Parts: sequence; C-alpha cells; structure tokens
Amino acid sequence: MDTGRRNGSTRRADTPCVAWLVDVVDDDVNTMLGVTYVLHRWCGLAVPDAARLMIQVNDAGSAEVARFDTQDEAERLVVRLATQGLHATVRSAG
Amino acid sequence: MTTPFRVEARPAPDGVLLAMSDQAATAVTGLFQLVVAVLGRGLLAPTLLRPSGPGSARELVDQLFPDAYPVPADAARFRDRHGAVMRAEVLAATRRVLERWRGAGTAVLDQRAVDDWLMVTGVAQFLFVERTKDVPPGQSESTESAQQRTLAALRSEIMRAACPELTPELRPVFARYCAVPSTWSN
Repeated sequence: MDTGRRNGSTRRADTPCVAWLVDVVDDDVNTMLGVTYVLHRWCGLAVPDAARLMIQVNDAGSAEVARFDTQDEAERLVVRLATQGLHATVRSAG
Repeated sequence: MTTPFRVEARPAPDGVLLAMSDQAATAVTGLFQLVVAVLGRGLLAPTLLRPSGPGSARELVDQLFPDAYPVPADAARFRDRHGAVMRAEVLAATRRVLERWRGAGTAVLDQRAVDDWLMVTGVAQFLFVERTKDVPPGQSESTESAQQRTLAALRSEIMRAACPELTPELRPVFARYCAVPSTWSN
C-alpha cells in the first residue's frame, strides 16, 4: 500500500486520493442566461466565471464546474443543480 | 375580452417585483398545479402525453431529474439516494409559490421566493419538452412547448431582475452567438 511518503512527508491513510468532479451538460432547453445564473447563484462563481463556464458547456457540450474530495459533496451539488433544471453529472478524476 | 399575456420583473428594494397579466397568471398557476399533480400525486395528466414522451408518471419524474452518472446502475443508485429528496424539494417549493402568490397580478419576491420560483420553473420546463429536442428541419416545434416557452420567459424575467449584472455581462456573448444557429436562446 502506498503510504504517501514523499520527500519525508506522510499522508494519512484516509486522505482522499480521488477527486470527484461535477460537470454540467448541455441541453436544448436551458438558456444561456439560465445556466449562467444557476452557476453564479449555486456554485459560488462570480458572474464572469459563470458566463465563461456556460460558454464552455454550450461550445463543448459540458464543463467541469466544481470538484470535491468526496463523492457525497459532489452529489449534493448535483442534486442542487438538478433541482434548478440543469443536467449535472458526477465523475471521479482518479 | 382577454388581457394580453404579459410577464415582467424588475429589481425592487425588497427583492424582485413580479407583474403578470390575468391571462399570464392563470396560465402560470395551471402549470404549477401540474407540477403538484405530477410530483405530489404521481399523476400523468393527459396534457402531458405526447407521442414520443413518457408513458408513465414514473418515467416523467425520471425525465425531470436526468441521470447523474453515465453507468445506469450508478445512476439508479443515485436516484435511490436522492430522488425522493429532489422530488420533495421541488414539490415543497411549488406549494410555497402557489400559497404565497395565489395568482396575484403583482408580487414582491424576496430571495427565498426568487429561489423557489426559479426552482419550480427550472424543473417544470421538462414536463413539456425533452432535454434534447428532435424537431426535423423545416417543421415547427410542437404546440406543447408553448408551456415551456412560458416558463422560460418567466425564468428569464426573474433572473434578470434578481441579478441585474447578468445582462451587461452576457450581452457580448449573445451578440457572438446570434449569428450562429444555437439551441440556446437569449
């Protein structure tokens, strides 16, 4: 088992080594205004940052909007975004 | 003689001032009552039936809250963990809106009420349309999406009033996309 000793440091055994990412997925219904507002209101993003991510969702089909240490935290945000009408998904980065 | 359909929202000292014509208020009330019927009583109202649409209330509710994971088993487990909470939150918000608003021509919405209105309208859209529209070129959208357009217009009005800095920030973005066919409207 990798104890995480790096350059003399140690990592706790329960230190998460996988990040949980939340993506917002494009759809044909939500407006640019709507997605930007929701990202600003519920993801703690400044309006310009929310707009930038909204453009990425529109152009690329999805965008990572947050990452968490635990799956629970990621799912809580997905619940929040889903109840605002957005399609959000969870994936692990590990 | 009916009043024209009108929905307007403006920033107000205590929140957002929302104004609607009688026709708009009646329509919006009906839409919100459909949300209560679906989420609260598990009913699939005839007005929600469409050829390619959900065949049961359960399918309709699943459509309201899409898969959170690409693997079906993971998505199913997510629904088991969170589905009831999501349905309950939206249902509670809808009931609060109907109780407090009561179809009034004007209302001042504080932040909590703004959040409720936007939650309800955000989810309710998907009672009437699917997330991916499949309208063949040259054909007009089906009539049931008129309800979704009503909800979308209401959402936009409230959002612009609740967060006035959105409009100047997004104006150049809208200008960039206006010339490009896009499924996202202003």
